[in-house]
Amino acid sequence: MQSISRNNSIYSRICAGAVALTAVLVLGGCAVSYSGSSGSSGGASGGSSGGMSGGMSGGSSGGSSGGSSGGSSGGMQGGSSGGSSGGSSGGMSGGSSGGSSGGSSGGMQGGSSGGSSGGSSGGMQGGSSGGSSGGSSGGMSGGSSGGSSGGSSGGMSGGSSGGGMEGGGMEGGGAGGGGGGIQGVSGPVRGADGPGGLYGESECADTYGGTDGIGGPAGNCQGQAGAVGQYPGESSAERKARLEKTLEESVGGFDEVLADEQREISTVGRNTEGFGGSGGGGAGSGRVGLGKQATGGIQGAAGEVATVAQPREPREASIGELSEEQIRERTPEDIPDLVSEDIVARQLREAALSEDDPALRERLWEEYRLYNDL
Amino acid sequence: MKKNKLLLLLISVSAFLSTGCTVSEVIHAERTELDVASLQISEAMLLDVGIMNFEAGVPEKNDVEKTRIYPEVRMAEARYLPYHLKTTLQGTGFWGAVRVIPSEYAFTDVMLSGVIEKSDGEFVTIRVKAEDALGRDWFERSYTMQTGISSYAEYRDRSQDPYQKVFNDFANDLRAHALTLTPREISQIRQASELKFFADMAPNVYQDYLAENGAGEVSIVRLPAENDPMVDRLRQIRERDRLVIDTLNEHYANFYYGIALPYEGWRKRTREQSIAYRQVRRSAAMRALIGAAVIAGSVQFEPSTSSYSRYRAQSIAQSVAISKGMNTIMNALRQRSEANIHREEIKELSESFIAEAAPMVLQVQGETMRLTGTAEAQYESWRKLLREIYEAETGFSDAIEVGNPARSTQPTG
Repeated sequence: MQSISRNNSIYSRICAGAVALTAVLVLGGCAVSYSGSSGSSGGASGGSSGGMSGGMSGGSSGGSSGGSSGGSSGGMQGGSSGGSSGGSSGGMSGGSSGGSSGGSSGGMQGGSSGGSSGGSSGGMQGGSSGGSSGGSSGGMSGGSSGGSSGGSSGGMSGGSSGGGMEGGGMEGGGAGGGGGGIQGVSGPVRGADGPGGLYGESECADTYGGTDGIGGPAGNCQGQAGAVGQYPGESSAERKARLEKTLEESVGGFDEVLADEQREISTVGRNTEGFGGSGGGGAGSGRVGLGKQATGGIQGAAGEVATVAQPREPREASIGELSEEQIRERTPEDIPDLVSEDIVARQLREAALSEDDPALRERLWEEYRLYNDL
Repeated sequence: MKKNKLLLLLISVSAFLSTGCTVSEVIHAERTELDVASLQISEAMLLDVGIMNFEAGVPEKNDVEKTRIYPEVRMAEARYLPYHLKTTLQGTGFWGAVRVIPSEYAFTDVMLSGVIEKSDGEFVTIRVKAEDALGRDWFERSYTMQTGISSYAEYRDRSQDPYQKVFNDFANDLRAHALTLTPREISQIRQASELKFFADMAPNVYQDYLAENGAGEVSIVRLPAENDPMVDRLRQIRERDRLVIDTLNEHYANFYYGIALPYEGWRKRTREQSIAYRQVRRSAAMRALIGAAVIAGSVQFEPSTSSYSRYRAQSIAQSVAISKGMNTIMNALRQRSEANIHREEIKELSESFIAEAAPMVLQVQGETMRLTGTAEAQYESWRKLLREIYEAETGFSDAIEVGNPARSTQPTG
């Protein structure tokens, strides 16, 4: 009897030990698989893919610049974009990386957009962000984007993914570029992009270019196919409107640059003594007329007008009724005949010329002098 | 008797010539009246003109001492003369916007390019070529003239350049060629220049609208729809491009007015020195010839008379003639060496002008590079934006890399 009970206790111990061992093995395996990723950790920024060390399941790549870190994969609908900017990455299979910056996207499905728009750089401020946003779809809520913007690549430090990683089992929100952000031993590291660390295929793989990840529930494989550079939930029309607005603002900004340039040029004095006009070769006033221009001034988005020099022939609009002699009488001697004026200066001049009250007229000329630093 | 008369004649001529030889110079230069429009021309019939900075025309192995071509002076002229041509063409009223352009990639309806073959203040030869946006060569000709004293008169209107005849001749020829074009051809030229710009900014959309043959001639394959929103956008951008060119022209204007007086001073004094040099050399040559002739004639003369007193007189006359001849030759040699003073003077004038002009040339070059660089960077971002807008509009995801645009960031001249 005693032997039986002794045997029973032994058996129970053995069983307990086996269970414990199993638990240890199970947990340890995940840790092992995860540890690899840490290497990539966070912010690999760009080229993390390189960083996709073997253990990087889900290829968080961590580095995927943009930090979408592979991990996002899985949850990173549309791509990991994370990596995209900066072109991730080798690890980004299916081109999730998008490498979008530059818009190659190509493989960036489901709106990896991610980096692509970023590529636009140039005038595309923040547009790029698109980059990440693409990635954000799916698991990356909160727009992990992280680094996406304009290929900030590498900008995806920490967080993005971290923050947004939902449904992806990216526990601890590590993901993101957060170095080693890809916690989630426990959970499935989705979308393992990149070499190494690719475990089977995630359920999202098919959709998102073969991002492989630790098998496991796909989790949140939402992600809508969209154009490169498109914000999540943004329609083509909305994207077009946004881009057009960006273009308009950029053009307006450029108008300001030109207006500043012309203002600066006008401060340079020219010795036009003797350059009287008498047909055939030279403006009558001694100033160089630029001939007929295609436009008389373009209204920029910012409201600033970069004016084009026009021949000082018959003035129109508010002072159209004044003769040349009257204009000369109403113009002080120290006011030069500027070839190019911006709209503010021109309006001041016209207001002064059309003002009948001498006192007010002088005040307007004073304002004109102040504005043009005369 | 005859020999006495000959001897006396030789002495007289020698005496006369030894007082100085003058060569007449041009007082009033030849002029050409500029054709000016008497009526306003319809805007649709106006072609915009782009003038590139001229080539300096400096020989590869240029020996300044021999050619008296100063590269720095030519560089300044290569920027000054195109601008004056611009003002001349503007004054005719036959053209749209006339601008000096930094490179051939500033797409205009008509493009002018030139080479300065000679310019020394007295003589000028410029070879100018005109072509249109369809790649058709209009003509290429050399224009030459000689300036006169009045070309540099202080009281004259400075908008009339001393070389004005060259500019007027060319302007008239350009106008004459334009008159041979039909309204349809003018319209096609304008369309071609616009499409070239469109293709440069949005090649994924418009690169197939124009076709180019092996000879560089362009034909319009098709036209964009007028209600195409992309056309509107590109026209807005083109206006900015024109504004950039106009702004550059303001810099060129500053250069033009800044260098006008020093350049005219250089041309005037260099002309005077060149003429003086030529005159002195010619005079020296003449004197040497006369002196030699007198000596030769005198040596050959043999007093022949039975009278001692006459014989004596003839011998003395012979000696005087020979002496005079020798003096004439010595004066000729002295004159020849003095001529070099004028050459040195020309050299000093040029160096002085270069010292004044070089900083201005550098400045305008710098401004050009800065502005065109800024603009080009902006155009690049717009190209990408336009591409994305096009993709959003059409749904086409163009995987074709835009590649290097046709526009170059390096302006010529």
